[in-house]
Amino acid sequence: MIKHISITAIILPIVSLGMLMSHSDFLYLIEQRNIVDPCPNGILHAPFGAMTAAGCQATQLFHYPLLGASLLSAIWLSVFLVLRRMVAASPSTECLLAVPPIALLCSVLNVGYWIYCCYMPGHFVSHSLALLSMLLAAWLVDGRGPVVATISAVLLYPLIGMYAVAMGIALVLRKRNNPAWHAAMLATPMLWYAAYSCQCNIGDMYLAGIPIFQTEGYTQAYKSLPVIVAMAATALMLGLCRASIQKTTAAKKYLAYGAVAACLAATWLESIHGNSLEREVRLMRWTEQQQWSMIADDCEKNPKHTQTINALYEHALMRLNRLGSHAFAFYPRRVSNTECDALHINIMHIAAPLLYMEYGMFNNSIRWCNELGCKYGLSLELLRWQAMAAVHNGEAAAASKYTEIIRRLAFHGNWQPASADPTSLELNRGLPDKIGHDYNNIIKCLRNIYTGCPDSAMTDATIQLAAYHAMMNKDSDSFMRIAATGRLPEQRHFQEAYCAMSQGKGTGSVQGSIAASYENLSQMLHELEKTQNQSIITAIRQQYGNTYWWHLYFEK
Amino acid sequence: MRKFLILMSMALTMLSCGGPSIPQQYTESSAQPSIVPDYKDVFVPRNIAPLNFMVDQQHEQCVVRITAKGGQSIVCGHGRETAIPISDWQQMLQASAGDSITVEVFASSQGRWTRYQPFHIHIADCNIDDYISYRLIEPAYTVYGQMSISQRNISNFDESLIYSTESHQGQCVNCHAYQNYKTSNMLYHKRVVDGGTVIISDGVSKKVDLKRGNAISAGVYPAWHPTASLVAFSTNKTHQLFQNININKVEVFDTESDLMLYDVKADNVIPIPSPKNAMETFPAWSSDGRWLYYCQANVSDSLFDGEYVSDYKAIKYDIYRRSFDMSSMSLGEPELIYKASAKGLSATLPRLSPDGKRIVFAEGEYGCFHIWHHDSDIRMLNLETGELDMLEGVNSPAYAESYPSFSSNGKWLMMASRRDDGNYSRVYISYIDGEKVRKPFLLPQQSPLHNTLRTKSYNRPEFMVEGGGMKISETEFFCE
Repeated sequence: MIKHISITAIILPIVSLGMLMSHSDFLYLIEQRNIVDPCPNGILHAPFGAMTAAGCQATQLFHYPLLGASLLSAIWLSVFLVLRRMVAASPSTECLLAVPPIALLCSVLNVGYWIYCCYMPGHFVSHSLALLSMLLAAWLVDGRGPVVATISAVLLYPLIGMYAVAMGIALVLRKRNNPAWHAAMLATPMLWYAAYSCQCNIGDMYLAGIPIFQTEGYTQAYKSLPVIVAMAATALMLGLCRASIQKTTAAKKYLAYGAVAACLAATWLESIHGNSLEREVRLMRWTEQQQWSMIADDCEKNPKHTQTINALYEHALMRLNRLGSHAFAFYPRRVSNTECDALHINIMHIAAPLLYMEYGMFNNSIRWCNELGCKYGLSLELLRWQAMAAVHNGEAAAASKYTEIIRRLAFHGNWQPASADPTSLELNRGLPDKIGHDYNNIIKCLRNIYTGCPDSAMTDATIQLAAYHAMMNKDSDSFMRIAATGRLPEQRHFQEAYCAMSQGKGTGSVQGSIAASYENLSQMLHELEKTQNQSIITAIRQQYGNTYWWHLYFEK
Repeated sequence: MRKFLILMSMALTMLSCGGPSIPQQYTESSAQPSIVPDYKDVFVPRNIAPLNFMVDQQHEQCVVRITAKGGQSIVCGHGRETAIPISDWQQMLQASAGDSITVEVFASSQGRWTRYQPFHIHIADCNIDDYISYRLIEPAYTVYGQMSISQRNISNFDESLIYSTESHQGQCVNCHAYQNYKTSNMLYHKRVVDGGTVIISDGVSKKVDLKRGNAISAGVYPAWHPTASLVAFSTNKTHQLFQNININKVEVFDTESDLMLYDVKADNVIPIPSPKNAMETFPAWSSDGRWLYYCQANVSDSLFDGEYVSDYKAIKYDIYRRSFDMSSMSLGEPELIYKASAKGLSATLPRLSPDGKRIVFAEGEYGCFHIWHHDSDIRMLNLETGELDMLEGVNSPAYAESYPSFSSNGKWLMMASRRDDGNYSRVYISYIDGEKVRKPFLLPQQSPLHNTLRTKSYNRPEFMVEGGGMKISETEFFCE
C-alpha cells in the first residue's frame, strides 16, 4: 500500500511541475500580468476575497517560474494527501484522488490568451489555496454533525466562496444527514448577500470562487470547467465515494485510470501548446532587453506570424536599420492588421503600450496602460510600462509613483525604470503635434502618423519608418516626398519602391540590377493584364515574392 | 500554567514597550524636514483627521513631537510615517483652535538621528463639513472598470461606498450632486448599463430619463436649486480626442451644449433657449437661488467637423448669469460676469460662495475639461468689487487644478488637483482666512502612502454636511 501511495504522491508533483515548466514563458507572463492592487480593500470586501488577495500575493512567486510551479505542485500534492487521508481509497483506485489536482493544473494552463483580457485576480493560485482550505476545514469538522458543518460553511463562505458550500454539502452527504441540510448549505450565499449587496448581485454570490471567462460580450464557459470539476470532484469523493473507492473491483480500477487519463488529456489539449502566445511573450521580453537580432532571427526562421509578432519584427528591423533591406525578404509572412491573434484578443491587448513606447508615442503608451489596467486590472507589466513611458515623457513624479508601487512587490524591492531610450526619444521628437484617435489600431496609427511626419522634423530614425509606412500604405505621394529629402538609406526595398512609385521620372540612385528587375516585372505585369493568365502570377510570386513589388501589386 | 505565565510576561513586555520616544542623541539641521504630503504651515479646521505624513526616502525612521501652545504634546512615529493617534490629535486641535501647533521631526538615516527645524500647523477657529464625497475612477480614457461614488468622513479616515458599479459590469456612474450639501435631495447619473439619472428627493429615489424632446442629450452637469425642488442641467454633445505628444494627453470638448431645468416633483423638463452658436454648460446656483450662473463659449459652425474640431484651442468659455424668478420659473437675460476669453483664457466650473459674494472657477488656456490641462488653475472673483484673486499660493505651478467648491460655512475651498504626479487627482483644501486663501493641505489619510498607492482619481469632490451617512436606507439606495 505504501508503495502505491508513494508512486501516486511522487508522480503527481513530477507531472504537474513538468507540465508547468514546459510553459515557463507563460509562467513568466503569469507574474507579469498578476493584478497589482495596492489597495486590496476592494478585493477583500467581496466573497472569496481572501483567497483572491492571497492568490495575488502568491502569484508574485512566479517571478521565478520554478518557484511558482513548485508552490502549485506542493499545494496540489497537499490536496491529494489530505483527500487521501479523508477518503482512504484503496491502492488501486487512489489515483482517482489526483483528479482535483489535475483539474487545477488544467485551470492554470487553459487560460492562454485570456490572461490578457479577463479580470481574474489571483486566479492561478487562489483556487488551489481555496480547495486546500476547503479540505483542511472538512478534515477538522468531519464527524461533528450537520450543525457544525453548516456553521463552518457559513463562516468560511466569505473566505473561500462556493468552496465552503461544496464542503458543507460534502460533509452532509458523507454522514448521510437529513437532505434538508443541503438547503441550508445552498442558502449560505443568500445569508451573506446583505453584507455584500453593495459589491455583488445575488447571482454573483453563487459564483464566488468560480472563474468567469467573459469579456466584451464574449464568453467561453467551458474554460471554467476545470475549477468546477476540481471543486465538485472533491466534494463528491468526500461525500459519496468513500465506500465505493475502498472496495476495489477491476471495473473501478480501470474507471479510475480512465478518469485520470481523461483529465490529463484534457489538460494537455487545453494547455497553450501550439499557439503563439509564448513566442510573443519571448519576443516582447527581447524587445525590452533590446535583443533586436534575436527577434529578427526568430521571426525569419519561423514564418508563422501573428499580428503582434509581425509588429515586433518590423520594430526590430527598424532598430537594426534593416527595414529597407529585410522587411519584404521573408514573404509571405504577413497577417492582416485587424486579424486577432486568438479569440478576439489582438495586438492592442498584448503589446500596444510597449510598441507605442518603443516608437516614441509615449502619450499613447500611457493611455493604453491605463485603458488595459482599468478594464482588466493593473498588472505588474502595465505598471512597468507606465513607469517607463512616464520616464520617457519627462513625467518624473508619475514614474516615481509607479516605481513605488512596483517596489512593494516581492522580488522588485530595488526596481527602477530603465533610463530613456535615445531612439524612442528621437522618434518622439520627430512626431507631429496632432490631436486624434488611434481607433484601437496601433498599426494603422503608426502608418498614418509616420507618413505624416513633417520633413523638417524627420530624423534618421523617422525617415526610414516614414518611408516604410508609406510603402505599406502604397502611398506614392508620401513616399516620393520622403525620397526627395535625399536622406533615404540605399536599401533594396526602398529602391524597389522608388522604381515603382517614381512613374518613370528617372531612376535616381537606383541600382542597375534593381531597375532591370523592375523592367522585367513590368513586362510580366503587362502580360498578365493582357492575358489574365494565372500562371504568370505564380511565376511572379516565385521571382518577386521577396520584393516590395509583390506587396505593392498583389497584397491587399 | 507555565505557558500562561510566559504568554502573560510577553504581553506585559510588549505593552511596557510603549510608543516611540525622542532620541537621546541627534544632530541639529538648519533646514525644515522634507515631508510628504507637505503639511508645513498649512491651516486646517479643528475637526480634521490627523495630518499623517512621512519623511523622505533618505530616512528609515522618524519620530515626531507635536506640541500645542499649552504644552500638551504627542510623540509618535512608525517607520517613516507619523501615525498620529487620532484621539490625542483631536484633543490637541480642539485645545489649539485659533492658534497653531508645532511639529518637530527627528529622522534617522543609517542609525544617526537628525532634528529638523520645527514647523507649524495652524488650527483655524472653525470647523469644516464632516463629509466629502467623490467619484473614484482611474484616469482612463475610453474605457472604465469598477468605479464608485464614495463618501469620506474627514474628521477620521472612514471611507464608505455611496454607489459602486461593481455589480453592474460596464456601467458608468457620474455627476453626484446635492441640494444644500445634504443627501436627502441628491442625484447621480448611471450610464450605459441600466442608464438614467437617479434622483433622491426627500429620501425617496427614482430613476428618470432626462433626454426629452429635442434636447441635445440627457442631463449632464447638474446643479440643485438651493430651496426649490429643481435642478439645472447642461445637455452636452461631448467628444474626446488624444494628444499625440502634448503633455495634456486628452482633450474632451463639446460640439453642442445647452441648459435646461428639471422640475423634480412634476418630472418636467424646461429647456432654456439660447443664442445660436452659444454653448452653455456647468450651471451653478447662487445660494439664495435668485441667480443661475453658467459658462458659455461662442463658437462658429466652421470649428467643428463631426467628431473633429479644427481648432480646439479656439473654444473658450466665459461666465454668465441669469436671474431666476421662482414664481414663473423663468430666467432673465444673460449677463456677462467674467470674460476669460478676453484674456485668451477659458473659465469653467463656477461655484458661488454661500454668502453669494464670491465665485470660484477653474481657468485654463482653452476648452472645458480643465482637469486634463496642466495650466489650469483655480481663480476667485469678488462679485462685489470685481477683484480677481489668482490664488497663487493655492495653485500648483505645473499641474492642473479643477473642480473648486466652497464648504457650507464658506470658510474652506476644496479642489481636485493633479499636483502630486500629474495624472491622478487628489483632494486639496484651503482655508479662506478673510481675504486671504491659505496654502492648501492634501486630504489626510491614515497612511500617507495611500495617496501614492491608490491608482484612482478623486473626481468631483463635493462637501456634505451630514454625518452618519445617507438618510435613505441602503437597500432603497442600491435597489432603486
